[in-house]
Amino acid sequence: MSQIQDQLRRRVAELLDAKTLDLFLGYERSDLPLKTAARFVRTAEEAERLVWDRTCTSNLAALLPAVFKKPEGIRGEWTPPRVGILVKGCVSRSIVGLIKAHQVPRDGLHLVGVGCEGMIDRHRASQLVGSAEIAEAMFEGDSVRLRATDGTEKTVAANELLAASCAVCRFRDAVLADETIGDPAATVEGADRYTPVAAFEAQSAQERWDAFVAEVSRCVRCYACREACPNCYCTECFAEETEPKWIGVTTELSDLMLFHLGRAYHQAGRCVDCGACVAACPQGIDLRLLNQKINQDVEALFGGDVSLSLEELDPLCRFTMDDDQGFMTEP
Amino acid sequence: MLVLTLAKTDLATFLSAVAEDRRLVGPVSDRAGTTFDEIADPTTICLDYRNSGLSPKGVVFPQRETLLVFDAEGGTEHRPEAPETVLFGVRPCDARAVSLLDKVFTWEGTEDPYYLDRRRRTTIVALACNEPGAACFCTSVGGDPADETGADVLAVDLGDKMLLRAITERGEELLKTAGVGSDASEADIQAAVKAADAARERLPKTPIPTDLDGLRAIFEDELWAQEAMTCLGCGACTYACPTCHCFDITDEAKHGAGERVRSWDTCAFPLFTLHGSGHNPRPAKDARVRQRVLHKFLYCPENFDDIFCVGCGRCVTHCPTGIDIRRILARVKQRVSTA
Amino acid sequence: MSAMSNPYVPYPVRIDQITIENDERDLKTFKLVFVDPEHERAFAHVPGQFAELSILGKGECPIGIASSPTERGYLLFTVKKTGVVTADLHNSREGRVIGVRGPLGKAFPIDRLKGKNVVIVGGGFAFTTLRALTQYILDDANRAGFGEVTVIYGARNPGELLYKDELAAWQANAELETHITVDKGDDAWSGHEGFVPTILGEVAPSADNALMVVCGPPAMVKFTLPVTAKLGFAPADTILSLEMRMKCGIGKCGRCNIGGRYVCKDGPVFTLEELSALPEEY
Repeated sequence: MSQIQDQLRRRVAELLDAKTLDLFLGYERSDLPLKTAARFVRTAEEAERLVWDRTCTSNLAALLPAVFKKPEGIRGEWTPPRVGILVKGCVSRSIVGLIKAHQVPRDGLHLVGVGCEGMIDRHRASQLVGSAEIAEAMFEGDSVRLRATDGTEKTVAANELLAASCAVCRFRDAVLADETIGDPAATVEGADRYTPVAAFEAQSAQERWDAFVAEVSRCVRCYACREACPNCYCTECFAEETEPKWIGVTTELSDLMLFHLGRAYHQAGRCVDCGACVAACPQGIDLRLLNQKINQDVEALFGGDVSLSLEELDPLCRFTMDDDQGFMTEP
Repeated sequence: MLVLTLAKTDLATFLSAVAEDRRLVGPVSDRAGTTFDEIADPTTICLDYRNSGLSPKGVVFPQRETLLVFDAEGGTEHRPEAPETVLFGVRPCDARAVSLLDKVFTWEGTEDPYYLDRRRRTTIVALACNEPGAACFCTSVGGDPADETGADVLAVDLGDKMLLRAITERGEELLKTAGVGSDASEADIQAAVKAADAARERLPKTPIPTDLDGLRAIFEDELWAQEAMTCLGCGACTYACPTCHCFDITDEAKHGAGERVRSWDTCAFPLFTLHGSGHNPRPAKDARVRQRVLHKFLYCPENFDDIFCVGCGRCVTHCPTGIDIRRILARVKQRVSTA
Repeated sequence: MSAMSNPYVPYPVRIDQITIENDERDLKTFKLVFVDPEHERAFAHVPGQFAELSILGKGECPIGIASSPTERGYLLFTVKKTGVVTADLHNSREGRVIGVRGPLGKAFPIDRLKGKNVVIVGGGFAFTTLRALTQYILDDANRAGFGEVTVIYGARNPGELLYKDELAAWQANAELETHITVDKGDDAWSGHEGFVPTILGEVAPSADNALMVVCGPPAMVKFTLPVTAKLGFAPADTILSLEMRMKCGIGKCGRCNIGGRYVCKDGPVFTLEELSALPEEY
């Protein structure tokens, strides 16, 4: 990892020094253990701050559309900056989606691909140290050693702390890149990503309803999930529309349900299961359950995975005569 | 004022006594860490925590609160009797934050009756910190791991027992009604002092800009746009924050009957300042990030003589893209001094 | 319902009359009468203040009070149809009961205006609170307390002028000097034709012992201020009214916060001097 990190820093410094790029978006160390921050760097010197490890959780693609928007108060022509970005698999898929949706331009973006082994879920790590807090986390090969504030230490295989979406990820390398750093990531076979969906569906209707209520009741409408998601780029979200008013803005249970159901449906055919929503939620809501169900349906109805290529139209953007039309005859 | 010690084994008894004719709200273990919730069974209280995920401000300033109830005939204010509540085991930073919210909701004589209904019936037992959290910086903004501001009782964890110091009359009343515990010894009191000293020692001092003129002068600085580039524009920081108090008022109705409610809102959302005409005084993220920082460190000090940040660190913990207000403040302070 | 002790509770008012102000029919003046006369006594507003018009089920909107407190028995609000609440209000019939919450905000500084010449400059449908101020000054009980009064008011075209009957009455009234202008006249128009700042420059009221009150759309205000400065009106003597997105109206919810000020509570009336001390975000 640290080799890749060094390579990354050198390469970005090169690109910035040569003025091939104006900005590079990557990750930098945060002051908190097991957390990194998104970071735009502009100079070779700043490039030294970039890191690449198993805490690079957030989906950087969510920050891109704003970079290409003409700032207020600027008159006449405006050229957007040339932006480079470090892309693990899910981030590259999100960018494929954004390019096809005309939210970011292809030219003007320089994607530096990197193979990803999967990111640590901070909350899972926290649970290992009980009521103490993690003071420091040291990666040693495939393990991570957690030192808690009460002095205790615990070493565990990094793969045991993987974020749920990372544990079943099948696209660990960039699907779109202008160049790559490091070797391709090891593939993951056999992980059935829809097991939690099946487990949920095996429950009775009442159990499922109760679980759904318990889950969404935790929501405080902070919209961290929405803003962290690269696919949520709408300038006015349906949840905040007043004419017509689809749902209320409060934590009334029906509003919470409709917000999450609505957002999940709006992701249909676009969600790449990057897990950014879950990682962003301050209340630890399992948002992926809804998205995974819809992903499963999309896959079953239309086949294939989404956002893999710029040339192909994604399922809900295309129509073919052999599309499943059972919903009309067998709703 | 009363200073008691209570064996940890007697804590449940104490809490049961307290909860007999009051609503007990305290920290409990939750999948996202620790959260504040109504406690039916006092043995489920979890006092061995750094700080909760979201702040406990919801006890006095709920996420959703009904102001009026109406139907086709008209409307009436909705002010059910607030339950007598004991907010037990909040950190001193959060208790301090409540005292700051008090200022807003009684500002210049305009009293917010909904807030005050709840506030006046809430007794706060703060739990001093023996160990700061990774993102804590209370001492840099005028707080302290054993701060008494806003608390009716200050509790200190001494291992096998707790020290309970009454700060206000209300707090003393609470300790008396519980009828458990014994007078604290001098040794206990000293142990509590030592614990606070140790915690204070471990708290890093982070640079905080306090030069108000200087802060005004950097309003147009490019640093805001730079910091805002990694801001997602969500409300995680403000909703977790114990002093943030912006709210929206909306009518939720069906067939002419319903409620006028207030709910948490945030200056981080672009829609917050959007005019009906389409004009937005804060059209881009840089203005909104600036607003968040300046409101806490300039405008509130101007209006209330208080920084509206208690250094709890929740915004640092929760920001999905890792924005760290301590870093922004250090940068701001540096710009102020070189401006 | 204790409307007076709870600042979030509106007073019930009946829509007594609706006047369509413009050809496009998206500007209407509502004459509201308090259902409970006790509420009118408590309301007691001063020109420059606003109120939140409340429609239960839809929401509230902050509207400047267009009537003077000297006009007993009713309140006037001129409302443009913009969003959910104003659209519903515009669909109302006379007799409907809605709510009014207020009075809110800082009024025009009447005490400072007393004994002085007052120049009132307004544009478009921002003229509403200026009507309140003018009517207040013109009231028999008050007139003698003020010096010369000059009103300059303009709109895009004759159809867009508010309060046409009152304007005619003012023009016939020797107690004040009235200049009405339109950006573009029509065949029937015989008054001034020109932008408000231009007409102000031509009328050129003296700044001697005078105060200037300006209300208008941002574009108009932007071009008017250099003229007022040129005429010699100091920033402390130039009074403006700001518009801002509001919700609670009582300085709690944070929406109208600019710098250390809340437009609902510290405004909407500000002097130019006060505004200059605020960060530029309005």
